Amino acid sequence: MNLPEWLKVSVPALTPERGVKEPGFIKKNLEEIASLMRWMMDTEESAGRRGLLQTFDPRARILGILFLVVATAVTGNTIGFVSIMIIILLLSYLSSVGITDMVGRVLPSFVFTGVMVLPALLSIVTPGTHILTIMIGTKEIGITYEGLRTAGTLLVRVTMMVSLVALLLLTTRQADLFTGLRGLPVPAFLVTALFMAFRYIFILLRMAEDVNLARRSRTIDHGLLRDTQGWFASRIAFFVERSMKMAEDISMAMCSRGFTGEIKGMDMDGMKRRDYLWLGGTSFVFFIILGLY
Amino acid sequence: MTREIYRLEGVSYSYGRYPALRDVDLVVEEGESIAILGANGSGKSTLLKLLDGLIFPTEGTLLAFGRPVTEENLSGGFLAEFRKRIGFVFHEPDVQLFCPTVFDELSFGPLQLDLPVEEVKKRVSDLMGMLGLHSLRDRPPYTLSSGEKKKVALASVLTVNPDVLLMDEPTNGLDPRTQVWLFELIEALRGFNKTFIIATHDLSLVEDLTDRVVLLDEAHRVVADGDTVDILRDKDLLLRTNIIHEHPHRHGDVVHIHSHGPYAGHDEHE
Amino acid sequence: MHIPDGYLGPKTCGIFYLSMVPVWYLASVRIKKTLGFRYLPFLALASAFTFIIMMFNFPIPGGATGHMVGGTVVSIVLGPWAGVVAMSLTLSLQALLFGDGGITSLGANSFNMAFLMSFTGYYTYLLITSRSASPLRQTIACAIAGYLSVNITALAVAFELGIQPMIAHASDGTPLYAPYPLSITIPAMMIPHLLFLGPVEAFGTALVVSYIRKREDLVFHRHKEDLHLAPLYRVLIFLVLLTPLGLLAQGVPWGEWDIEGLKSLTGYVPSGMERLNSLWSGIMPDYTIPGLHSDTGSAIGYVISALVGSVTVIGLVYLWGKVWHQR
Ligand SMILES: Nc1ncnc2c1ncn2[C@@H]1O[C@H](COP(=O)(O)OP(=O)(O)O)[C@@H](O)[C@H]1O
Ligand SMILES: [Mg+2]
Repeated sequence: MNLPEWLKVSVPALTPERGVKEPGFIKKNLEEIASLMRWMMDTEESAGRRGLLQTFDPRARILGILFLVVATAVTGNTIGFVSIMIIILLLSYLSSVGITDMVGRVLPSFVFTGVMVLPALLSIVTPGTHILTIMIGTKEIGITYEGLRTAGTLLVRVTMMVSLVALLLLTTRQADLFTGLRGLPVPAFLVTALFMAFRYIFILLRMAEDVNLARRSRTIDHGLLRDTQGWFASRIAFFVERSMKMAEDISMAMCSRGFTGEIKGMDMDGMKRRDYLWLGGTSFVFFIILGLY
Repeated sequence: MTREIYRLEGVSYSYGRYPALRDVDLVVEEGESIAILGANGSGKSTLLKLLDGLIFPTEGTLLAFGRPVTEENLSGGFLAEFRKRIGFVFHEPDVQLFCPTVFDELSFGPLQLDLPVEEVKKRVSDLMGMLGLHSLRDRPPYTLSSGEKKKVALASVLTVNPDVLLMDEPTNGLDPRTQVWLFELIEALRGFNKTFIIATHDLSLVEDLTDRVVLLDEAHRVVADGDTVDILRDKDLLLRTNIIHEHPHRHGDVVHIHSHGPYAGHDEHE
Repeated sequence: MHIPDGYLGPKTCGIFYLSMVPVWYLASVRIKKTLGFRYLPFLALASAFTFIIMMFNFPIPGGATGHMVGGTVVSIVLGPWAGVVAMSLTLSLQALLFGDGGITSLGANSFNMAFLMSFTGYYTYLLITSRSASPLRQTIACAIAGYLSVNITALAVAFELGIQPMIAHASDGTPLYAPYPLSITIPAMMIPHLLFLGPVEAFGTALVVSYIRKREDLVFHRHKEDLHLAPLYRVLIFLVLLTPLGLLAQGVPWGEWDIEGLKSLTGYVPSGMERLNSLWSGIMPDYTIPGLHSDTGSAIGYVISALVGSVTVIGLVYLWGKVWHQR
């Protein structure tokens, strides 16, 4: 084989770094992809532990948590909030859900809602009894008791609802989640489509990661948008062909194994006594809270 | 007399403007083990997809079990029979595995074909035992190693108990141990009158497991169809169709041209 | 544009769930008919792409970034019903598996982003291109459809949030769910969407569609007979590749509706409306047992009613399991 001359020459030493830097979007893309993947891994790991919630049938687990979620959604008083809070803490403890796992999933929503709700504290948004007054120029702005209640209620409710969903995710392996959904009155083709979408997301993310990594490994970037776009354009054709082929192949693989448009599933084993107990308990909480509403 | 499984007469297929298979004549009988041999892009996968009724000839006729396979024809009762009798192991296990767990994966085929649930459970359990997959029962297939994926993909086809097995490059990307396992499995199944049609360019597979070779060239035509042993001995033919290649080879100080393929040892070496 | 759990009152959530059920049903019937048995991998891929589109940020002049929703693109290429299903799948996936969005608000979110956006986008596009479909006209139609549909969706979100203080509050008027009235939510949602996120959606939609037309014989939804898989994949893959460009402009996501709420505060008048009866209290009137009139009595009544409720639940689940088994 005749190698061109330039290919035979190796660069003697590192050239001094000058104006060469990794484009921000690649770094950020890779970080986002990596964090999503890590997130899924952590969830899967936690779901594999032993604990109370993990012992329930996935269908019952989903349904029960839904009862608690709806109970949280309808409650409007302190007793309701406090009792559900206790239930959440108890369930997390009994299901060996780590505090850090839980906080990691709840914190973003907490902070987000917390910031969003701040203006509602002020008298200009929520008039009422001032509990703290600040003078800005000649204007008097205060934090009101009513504002505090409004903001507090929303913040507590959102946090608790997010915690409940996090509890479900942290105690249920992804496969069980889909199995559970299939056992609930959700059309089978929707569950299959949902699962396939879930798979595709990871395949696509991995492809995107590879492309971004490949780009990183060859980066000599002067921050020109035109270069970046050219690079994107060149990758598009490749990606389009590959993903199309993959999707067509999957469709063929399904047909090959007898799929004709309607997924036929297997009945699941019946639920056990503990599952019924759990459902009874959670629905009891739900009805009690409904009564207090 | 053995039963005829496939009869292809003048079958061509093109993807839009691009031809992938030209004027193929082929007869496959029950119990045969056939290698579809050809370089990359010669049309092996296309041929298998035609044989599995996933795509249909743009020209020529394809008969399966004596009945024409066309888009209109392949429906209802014939479709169910067809799918029950023919299994296709795809090249990429990732493509073939789309269920949430290994168990779901193995039971998918028989359930779609309306086998009774108890029978499905028994088959799945038997196969998991045979292939040592019990510990993976509830694992999502996409988290498995590539060898395990291949096993699951194969098992998911075997649960239907097809008479005809179409396999697309089954040894690709397998480590030697899994490869040996696969050879043993195919060998065992051959004993029960199963028909194998295997697309590959793995010559050791061809040599060990098949008795007939259908050779495709890069113009997407069948250039040879005959006994495995005869075709593998025809070095010129294999060179011409890009199945084997020659490259310079260094032994100590001696550099010589050396072809890679079966029966091509170092005998011309002084 | 997702409304999280806890921002909408139970009545609002319930109503949106109820109104989405027939839409979902119709949509699934329609797509099975138009897309045939290949619809599954197809919809799944569409939904995966919208998921990824929503994950990445697009650039907005001024150094900020914002999300594109992508609903219009799917509905123009695949038809509005497929758009509804693909988008609903994405939203469900986000809510159920990623704890993103909300479970109780899934109905409302689907109504806004799956139903409203798909249909307004699709029909805007159809109206503009019905007489002539020159490439330029199509591109403009896509842009307008994207802009309009995302703004209508934003308006719906603003409305849903803004009416919460009126319809879902404690007996003294303190809002129990989203706290801001229409006078705040509408400008907070609409200003960023009219100015920035609308153009993002318009630009994205137009770009993708013109790309497809250049690439190959795109068959639009109207030619149902020979609709094939290629266009959608291409569109969506293109979007996935394109969206990360948005990250060139680094910055905090702009135009998340709730942050914007801070910016244009106009005033707040707590509504003195009477507390409305809950949807549920109709099912179990008053929770009292006749004959027991004392406080203890009604407390016991509560507990007994709740017990009856949960026993009913267990019974229903059990029966349903039996029926399901025999199917
Ligand atoms: N989906 C497709 N669209 C267009 N061309 C294709 C497609 N699949 C295969 N081809 C082309 O058809 C020819 C045969 O391909 P294939 O059957 O996959 O070959 P092999 O399996 O022997 O490598 C090749 O030239 C390939 O590029
Ligand atoms: Mg191939």
